[in-house]
Amino acid sequence: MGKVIHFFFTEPGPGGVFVLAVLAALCFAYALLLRWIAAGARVEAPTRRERWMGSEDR
Amino acid sequence: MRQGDEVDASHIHPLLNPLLRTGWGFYLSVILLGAVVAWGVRAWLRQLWLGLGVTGMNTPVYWGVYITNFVFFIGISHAGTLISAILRLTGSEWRRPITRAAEAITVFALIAGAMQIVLDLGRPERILNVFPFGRSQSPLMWDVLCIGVYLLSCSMYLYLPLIPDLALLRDTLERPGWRKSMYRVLSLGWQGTPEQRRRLNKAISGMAIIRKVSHLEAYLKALHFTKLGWLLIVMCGLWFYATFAEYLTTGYGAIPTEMRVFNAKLAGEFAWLFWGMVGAMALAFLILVLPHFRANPIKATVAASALILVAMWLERFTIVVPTGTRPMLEGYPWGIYHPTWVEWSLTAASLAGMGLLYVLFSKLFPIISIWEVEEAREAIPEVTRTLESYLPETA
Repeated sequence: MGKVIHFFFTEPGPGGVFVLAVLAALCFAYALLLRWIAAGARVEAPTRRERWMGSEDR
Repeated sequence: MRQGDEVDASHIHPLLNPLLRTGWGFYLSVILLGAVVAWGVRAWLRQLWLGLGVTGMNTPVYWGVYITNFVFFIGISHAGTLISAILRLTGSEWRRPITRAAEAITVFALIAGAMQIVLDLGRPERILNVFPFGRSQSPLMWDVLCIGVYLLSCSMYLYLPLIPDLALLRDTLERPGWRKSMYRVLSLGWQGTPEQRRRLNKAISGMAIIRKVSHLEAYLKALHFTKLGWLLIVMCGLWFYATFAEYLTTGYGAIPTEMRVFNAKLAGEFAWLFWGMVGAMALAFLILVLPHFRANPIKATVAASALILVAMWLERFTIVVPTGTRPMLEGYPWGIYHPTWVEWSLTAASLAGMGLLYVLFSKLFPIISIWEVEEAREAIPEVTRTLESYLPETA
């Protein structure tokens, strides 16, 4: 374990891979989030009154 | 706007007008800002061809206007975060018409800020070396990580609340064309179902002046400038306290290496910049608090904001450059720094580029969140009930 930590903090390379991994994970998470929001349209069909942002409160 | 839609057409129309009708002001803005950006590209090409020797940077002043701009733009982007995230989380209802403009400024300022690092490199293509050869001890690697995460998150924070308005634009445009296609793709098939709305609100909460030209006076009222003015007064007060405490501590400590920088800033060659910064902040504070100026909150807040922007750039300059001219190592020669026309050109181009992105954004997307303004209309009875619940006679 100590060797892994030492390698991460001293060698050129793992830091850059870490940066790429974090950014890629974030892009993936945001893509899932957008897909989840878009999928909300299929949960229930909107009535005319409910179109354009939750007019059900009116 | 079609008849029968639940959103009141009389309220929506003014907000869509700047998008659907293009006046000469838009073309003039694009041409002027584009010309400044083009001039900046020319200066950058010269720098690429001849090297960083065309700038005023030298030994030992390795950081100049580019790093000053970088810190400045990152600071600008925080203003958007404050307005869009903090005011949203605290439920400040008056924030609704200004959130999108703030979120757009955040993203564009971050892009302009990240560009400064590229400008500061003699061989910009080598920035990609941070990935195969990134070292965890290097602050540069963490800069890339932080700015990358910040930019991605802010872009998402700008995009999510745009989705309902994109769907509105998709359905409002009658003729097919590239704009309608773009709105259709970007709106992700938004239908405004209760479930979609619930998911969007959950996502936004989880992550949590173009006024005259666009004729948005009915939405951006004096109240908004008054409230922003109060925020500025608080921030000004905090800034004065922090600056005074910083310089008092340095002066009282009187460490010789630090006093060189201290003296250069307060009484040396950087004094005019330092006292210019203090003067601009003091003037902004007076404009915000004196009743004579506050009688017109819009002019007062805009004037104070402009002064604060100048002061903040000067502060970044006096943080970055004086320390470079006075190395802490004994025996190391002192340096001088005078920015060249190449650096000033690229600074102007960066500001113009940010402005150009903002103008183009406001032409393609509503700069005021239509659905949030509509939501505010619906929230009036609830806000009234909440206010009534604060009264002592209410159980």
